[in-house]
Amino acid sequence: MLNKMKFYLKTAKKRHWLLVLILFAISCYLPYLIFGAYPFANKTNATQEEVELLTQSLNLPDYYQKNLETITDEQRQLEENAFANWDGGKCRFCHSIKRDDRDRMAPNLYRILGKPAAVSQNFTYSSALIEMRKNGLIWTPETINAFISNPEDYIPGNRMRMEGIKDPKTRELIINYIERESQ
Amino acid sequence: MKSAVNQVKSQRIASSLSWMIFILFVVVFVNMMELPRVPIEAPDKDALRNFHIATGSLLFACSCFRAYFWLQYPPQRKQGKLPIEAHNQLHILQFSLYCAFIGQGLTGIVTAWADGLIQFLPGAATVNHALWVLSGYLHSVFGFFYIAIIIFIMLTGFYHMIRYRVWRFSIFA
Repeated sequence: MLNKMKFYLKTAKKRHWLLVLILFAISCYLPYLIFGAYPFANKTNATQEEVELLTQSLNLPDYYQKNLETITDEQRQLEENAFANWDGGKCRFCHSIKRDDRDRMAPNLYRILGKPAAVSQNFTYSSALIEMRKNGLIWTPETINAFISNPEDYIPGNRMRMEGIKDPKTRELIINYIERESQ
Repeated sequence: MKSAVNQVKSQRIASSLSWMIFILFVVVFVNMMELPRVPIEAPDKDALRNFHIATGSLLFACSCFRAYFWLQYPPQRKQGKLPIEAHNQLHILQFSLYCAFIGQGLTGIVTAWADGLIQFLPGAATVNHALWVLSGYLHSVFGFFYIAIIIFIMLTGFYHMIRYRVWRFSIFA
């Protein structure tokens, strides 16, 4: 079998294999380019002390002690759809949100409000987002709203490959959902 | 005489495998396009994911057999008008397509294993986020790779049609 294989492989010109190699090399880059995926995950991006240091001087409200207004089941479903559905923000396809959810392709969003940017575990951040952490970006309903309306405009060079959610109502529903799930 | 009979038999098996791979590929591709559109918590999601794993594994197994047959009995040059070099180029692309399916299958199994979706030893802790990320990335790489190869095989087909007047539209040899 080895001889047959050798003969078969030898009958091809080098440039034929080169074409296959080039196609494979391009394919290696495409998941990063299209989905913003990265093949390696950083276990820790910032320690608890570092996170506290970044937020201690700021007078941030406690988003998780806030009494959220009671909503109907229909309203709750709307919020979930805005976050999870293909026609909504598509957030759930990469982000996990619930307390016991495992990390997925993108950082877990449980209790993201009040946290500095680029500090979650098990994710390799883009240098653009790490730079924003150094510049003091904290995730609040306002900064999240600005980011998801046009991610590339808000943080150029970040790896969240989405066009941005133009509808302010959808953005509001998504932020409410994040707040509610983090309670 | 015996080897000629073997050759005919193997060509039949190879041809059946190619058809099976083609059908499985279409099924997995449609499933793959549908899967992200179903919300994660939806009950359909698990069914679709399990179907993806089952058909994907079958595609992987068939591709392994097909690649083995390919190496044992390389496909014959049926188009006389096609120069040997053009024939080789096409066959290398087609062989790479089966290799891409094998790569896709291997990385898919590792991804599902690292995600705890399939277990080879009951009760064993197999969930590993770093491995899931790496194998998931490679699974995606092989997905793009086979799409690129299929596009190139089609382009090569058109080129052969114009240049050598050879009518051939088979992607899977």
